[in-house]
Amino acid sequence: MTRSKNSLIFYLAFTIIVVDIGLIAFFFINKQFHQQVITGSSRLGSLVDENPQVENSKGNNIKAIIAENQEKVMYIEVDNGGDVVSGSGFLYNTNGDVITNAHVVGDAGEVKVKTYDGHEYIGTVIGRGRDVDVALIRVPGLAGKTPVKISSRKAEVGDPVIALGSPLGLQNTVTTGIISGVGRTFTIPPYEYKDVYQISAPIAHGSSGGPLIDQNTGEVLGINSAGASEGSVGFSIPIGQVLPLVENWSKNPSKSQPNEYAVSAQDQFNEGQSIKDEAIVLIEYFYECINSHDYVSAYALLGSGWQSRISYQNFRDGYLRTKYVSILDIMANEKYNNRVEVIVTIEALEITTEGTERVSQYLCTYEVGYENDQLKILKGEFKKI
Amino acid sequence: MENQNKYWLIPFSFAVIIVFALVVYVFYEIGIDKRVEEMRIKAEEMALEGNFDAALNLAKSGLALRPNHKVLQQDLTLINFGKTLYQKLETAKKDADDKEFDKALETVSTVEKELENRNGEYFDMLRKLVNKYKGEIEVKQIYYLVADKNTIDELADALSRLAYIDNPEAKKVDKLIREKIVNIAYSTANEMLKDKQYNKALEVIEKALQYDSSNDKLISFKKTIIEQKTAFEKAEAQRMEEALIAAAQEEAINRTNAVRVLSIKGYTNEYGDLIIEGEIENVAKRPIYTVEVYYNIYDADGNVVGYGSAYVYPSYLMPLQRGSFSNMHYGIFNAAHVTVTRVTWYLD
Repeated sequence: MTRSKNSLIFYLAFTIIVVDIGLIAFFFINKQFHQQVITGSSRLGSLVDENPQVENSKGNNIKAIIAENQEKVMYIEVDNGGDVVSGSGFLYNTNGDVITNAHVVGDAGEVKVKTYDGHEYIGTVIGRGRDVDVALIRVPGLAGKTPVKISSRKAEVGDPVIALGSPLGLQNTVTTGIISGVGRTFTIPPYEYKDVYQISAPIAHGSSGGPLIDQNTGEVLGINSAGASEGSVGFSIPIGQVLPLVENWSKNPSKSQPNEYAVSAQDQFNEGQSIKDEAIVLIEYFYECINSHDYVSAYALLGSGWQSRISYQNFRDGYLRTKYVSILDIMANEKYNNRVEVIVTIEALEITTEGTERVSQYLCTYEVGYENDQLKILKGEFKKI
Repeated sequence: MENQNKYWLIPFSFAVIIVFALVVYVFYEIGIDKRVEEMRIKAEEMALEGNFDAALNLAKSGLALRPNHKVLQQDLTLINFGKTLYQKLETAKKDADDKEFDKALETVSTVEKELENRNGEYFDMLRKLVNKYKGEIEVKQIYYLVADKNTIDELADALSRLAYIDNPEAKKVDKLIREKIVNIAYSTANEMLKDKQYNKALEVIEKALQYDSSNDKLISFKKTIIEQKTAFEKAEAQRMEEALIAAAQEEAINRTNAVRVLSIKGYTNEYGDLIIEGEIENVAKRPIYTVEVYYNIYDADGNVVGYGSAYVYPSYLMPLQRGSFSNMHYGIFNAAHVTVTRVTWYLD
């Protein structure tokens, strides 16, 4: 009995040991699993900054970009009545629309478009900028071809760029450089270049209209448009400025008319003289006409409203008794809307019905303004003083 | 003995149960490993979809089970980075809603800098997210700025900015701006038309047509302007032609018919001399001078008995001014009447 009791105790103790080992094993396994260090790769990437891998593949990148874009750059030839102008352009969409400069196409309705592999097409000008130097040519033969990629960002100073075009008629010329300035504004009548890129690549004659391409992405940043005559500087119109126009023309292609109502360059630069001065000259001329009895010329200076209220005969008869008019004082005030009020004090030598001479002074107030582009006397009031 | 033999069963059965339990437990832990791995994959998937909160919960739950999961730890950091970035963008969006556009775009550009030089699918997604918010904020800003812009040039600038943004909202605002350009051009040209500045009005219309060539309102207005311009020029030419004709007629009168004889008479004075007196009027529209009146003197039978001429006084006659002349003849006694034969004058 004692022996069996002893043996029971032994087995119970052994059981406890077994349970302990089991527990230890459990905790060990639990710890092993819970605390295990799991490594591997995440789809989210790593925490450390990676260096862009552009550096070593840069040369290849430029070559690839040039190869990809060359076939989308066109050589454009415009026959302006015997005077042949050449330029560049690039394929904008799958309709065969080619973007170029307005100054390249001029007033032409049709232009010759040559691809880099020598194919020649005829294109129709379907849009022409009035103050932005851009035009759109539709070339049915190029429809369906892959167009250039348009950048969705504005270029910044220092961005490396490639200019493609045909300077001096040398087709497929590549020039590299950087954006050397932004926000340049100038005017080459009739075009205004507002907020354009300055690039370190020169834009020679014939390169005009070619694309300015981002060296990193191969996307078009602008249209190369003008070069300075000195130094290696070129200017390129940001693509964002021309897209609103080009999109419209592409959507509503119409045989674009030359800018028949454009303000002539001379007009724009004739602003040295203010409208006030012009108005004074006009009134003085009016009295010169009266004094030399050229009443038709004087009448011609009146605005249409005044002319319709008073016939030439009545106008002329108003001066039957006036022998001579001298201007004592003349001054002009600019009013709203480009109108000028001219106040003149005149002294008129008149003959009375009795045949005697009489000197009268009048205060005349004229309103002078433009009518159908001509400066006219629109209204007049006279007060005897 | 039999009893004694059966005692070993106690530890043995415990051992069997324990080993079994441990084996089950090991499989359970392996299951957890699998679950955590699934969580990680799911979390990464969620993060790539931009569902940061769900991804974060999964990563946290996974890490609660396997705290030393290096990949999950890293994922957690990256997801938190994404979530913070997303929150910044949301703040920027709210700023934009409060018209604090500069502040909003400033935030966006800080966020853009944080993403510089980071490569991979996740960062590309974050960049896309940033661009989406940036685009939305810019469109809002453009829409806001355009409200008080009333010139075609300013609106064209806004269109240029919009051209870089590719989202549906940008397309809508683009359309609105083009409509505004059309309306402004229409009313501006209308004002110019009232001032009869036809070319200026056409210029404005042409400029606006660059942005919407198919606009019927502008196209028909352009036609109207051209018609009115033509009508204006025609009317003006007609008025000037009439003036020239009137001036030519006047000139003819001035040269051939400037003098109207009001009266001429002859009488004998107390000394028996024949006095000729008369009055004329300058009916030309120009001053005339040195007017000479030629006349014949007739007897009662109509025979010319004498003739002569006289200069008018004053010598210089304004239009409508009258002048008189007189002359004296000796030895004509049978004069009955006098008629003017000819008048000469100089035009001034």
